[in-house]
Amino acid sequence: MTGAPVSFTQFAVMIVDDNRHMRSLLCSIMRALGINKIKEIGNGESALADISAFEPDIMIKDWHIELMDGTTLVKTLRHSSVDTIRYLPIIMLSGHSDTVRVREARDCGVHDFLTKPVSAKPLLARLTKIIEHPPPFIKT
Amino acid sequence: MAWRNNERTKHALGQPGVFARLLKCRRKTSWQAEGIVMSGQTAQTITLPNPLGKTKSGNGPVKTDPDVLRQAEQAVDDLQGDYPAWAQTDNDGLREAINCARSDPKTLPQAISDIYKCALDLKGQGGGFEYDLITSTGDLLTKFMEERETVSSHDFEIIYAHVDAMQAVIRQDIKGDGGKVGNQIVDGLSELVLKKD
Repeated sequence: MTGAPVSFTQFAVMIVDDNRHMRSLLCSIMRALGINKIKEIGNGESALADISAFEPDIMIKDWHIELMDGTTLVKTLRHSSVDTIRYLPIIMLSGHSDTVRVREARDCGVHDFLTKPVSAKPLLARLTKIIEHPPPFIKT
Repeated sequence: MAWRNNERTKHALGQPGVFARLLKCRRKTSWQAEGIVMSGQTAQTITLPNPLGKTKSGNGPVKTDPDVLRQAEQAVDDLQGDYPAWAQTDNDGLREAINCARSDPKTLPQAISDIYKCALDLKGQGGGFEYDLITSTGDLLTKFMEERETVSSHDFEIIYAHVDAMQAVIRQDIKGDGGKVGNQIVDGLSELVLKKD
């Protein structure tokens, strides 16, 4: 194996999805990657309430979540006064891949977009991409 | 945190079709942050320290241990046995939402939303566990329900047809596309969905 090895053991991941089965799937993948610090949350308001205490390194969130659907949670985080929250890497999951939704996710400051069904390989690819090339933010 | 102006971004702002081109490329790569700038807007690029660098030891491109990916794929495989029960729960939720909407028209807006959400959940999980027919059927049902405000008796029958199809897939444990019968089911449902409105 050449290159810089990456270890996810120190990673803290917040998973926000209102479907508990989807959370189970994502948690299993995360644990298999070696991530021990995982917080699963079922709705946007709880995510906002817990984010400061949990201090995630990355958030994986579904588009459709209760209480702050779509891009509302992302927009709220991007207006946070705390830098680590405002610039938190976010991967948006969605059952839809239509242009309008991808554009909306991108414009509100999501780092990456992954269409469901989710499998381990593309998820790992997105995590490593964010580690290697964290995208800069554009403030308009 | 360093704030800097980005000449490349400024230049890109004036180029016609930039935004469309970036969108066109979205399937090849994930978007670059520069892509979020709309024509005519001014922008600042914010380059941040990389807090996730702590996960990487050494220099050069990130390399993940192939065993890590294998373990993650194995974790998904290990959940395959649980999936039929998960799908059954979502399909039951779907049926319950339909029954609610039929029995009490006042609950229709919420029921439409619930039906859509259940269908989306089924669509979003099935294929990940090799139940591709669940994903195809869920996809058709989300298309049928999208932006729907009313549901006629005929529409309910179409929704039920999707629910029954998914129920058959779960009960008979049909993986993959379901072969010839699976294709016929999807084609039949597609025809119904395309006829909507």
